[in-house]
Amino acid sequence: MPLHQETRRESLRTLYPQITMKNRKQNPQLPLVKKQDILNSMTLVNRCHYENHEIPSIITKCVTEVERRIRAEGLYKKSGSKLLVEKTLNQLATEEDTNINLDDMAIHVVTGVIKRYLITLPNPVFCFDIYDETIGYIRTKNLFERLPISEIKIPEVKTGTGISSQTLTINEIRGILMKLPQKHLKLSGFLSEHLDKIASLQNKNRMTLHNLAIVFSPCLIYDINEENCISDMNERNYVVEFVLKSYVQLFS
Amino acid sequence: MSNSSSPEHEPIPAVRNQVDLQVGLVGDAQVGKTSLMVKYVQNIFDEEYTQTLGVNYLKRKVRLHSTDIIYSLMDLGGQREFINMLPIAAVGSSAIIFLFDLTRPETLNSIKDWYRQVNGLNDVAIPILVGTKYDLFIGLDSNYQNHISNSAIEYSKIMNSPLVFCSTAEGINIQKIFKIALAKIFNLTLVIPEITTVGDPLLIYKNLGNATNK
Repeated sequence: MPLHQETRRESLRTLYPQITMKNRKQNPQLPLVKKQDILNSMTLVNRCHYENHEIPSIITKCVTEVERRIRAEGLYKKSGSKLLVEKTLNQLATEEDTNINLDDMAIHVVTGVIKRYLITLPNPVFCFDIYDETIGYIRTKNLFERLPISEIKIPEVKTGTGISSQTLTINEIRGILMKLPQKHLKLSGFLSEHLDKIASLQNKNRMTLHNLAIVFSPCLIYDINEENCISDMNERNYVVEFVLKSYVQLFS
Repeated sequence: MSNSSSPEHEPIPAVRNQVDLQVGLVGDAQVGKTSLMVKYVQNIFDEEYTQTLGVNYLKRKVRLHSTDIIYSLMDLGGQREFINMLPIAAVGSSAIIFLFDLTRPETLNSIKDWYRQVNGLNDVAIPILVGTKYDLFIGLDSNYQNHISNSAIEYSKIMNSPLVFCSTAEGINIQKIFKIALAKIFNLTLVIPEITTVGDPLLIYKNLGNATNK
């Protein structure tokens, strides 16, 4: 048995003491949880710990495959079979060293797995903790009017002296994002870089950063209760597109 | 304020009835929901690759005898991530147009899921099954065309839903979709001939989607 499987088991026992029989005998009040369910509903932080990876392998495997077929039209926009997406995600999440072969799979299934993984995280990449602050910031600063996404220029075109509104906004949004757990920041940076690569080939795959932001915002930022998902849609979309555009400055 | 009273020679406008109808458009991404809506309302077809943010909304007024029909068209982004906005398009709609791309069989397969989801929210709306991109479809292998046409007919029977194949780019059968919707909602008789030959832009509606056989 490969060594890291042993380590994974070890870390699973540490994270979820209730899954070992011994611990359950000692503490009968611990709820019975199936390993399968744990693996399917693991937080991002726990998964990274469990896998001993900076980025979950579900993401890295799928991203590698998407980048191999980066010219495919409508990446992340077109939908793949719902059944296959769920099945593949389940396999990637629960089977150690799964020999699942992504290169034969329809590319829109692979992109679907990434989106589905993100949207089913117990706590989204942009965590519940910073939701109100982020949406509130965009609204109170009236960023839609003061700094429309289309006017953000990277690298910045300096006009005049002093700190520009763009730099100021980047700094302030960075201030909010820095409250995220480190693994969440890592994944934000990793995905931004990936989506930037896709958008750089938009003459092939037809996916602009704007289109990518629209499909990704429901996966990356949502409220703990879903009440505001419609009224905050523009703000959620703004923040995702903002991050995709200025990720180099934000995460450096 | 003082000169706001209307002059005597101005004709009194005829009394017109107004009926508001909401119609939802659902289906997988990139089947052409937004394009169909924009074509119907503004008569524009744009090749641009647009991504619907949540829900799009357009209105169009049509005259039917002494009545103005105001269509409110609600077009939902096709990604599954937008599914929690489905109520905006489904609840309160008198007809729901289910779209699939004739050149991508998997989008017809998805209709099952869309139909199930919509039916859970609104089981009284008239469903209309629409196959899009007919202009590209006719260039494909005839066995494929037969297979898709027959499957679509099967779906439309199960859904008890009129079936229309259309092309937004070429302007084929666009107005007819909405005429059929109106006829079914108000139980009116339509004189548009049906098109039932496989390979042609199918238009099958007479025995489907009628309130009596629901």
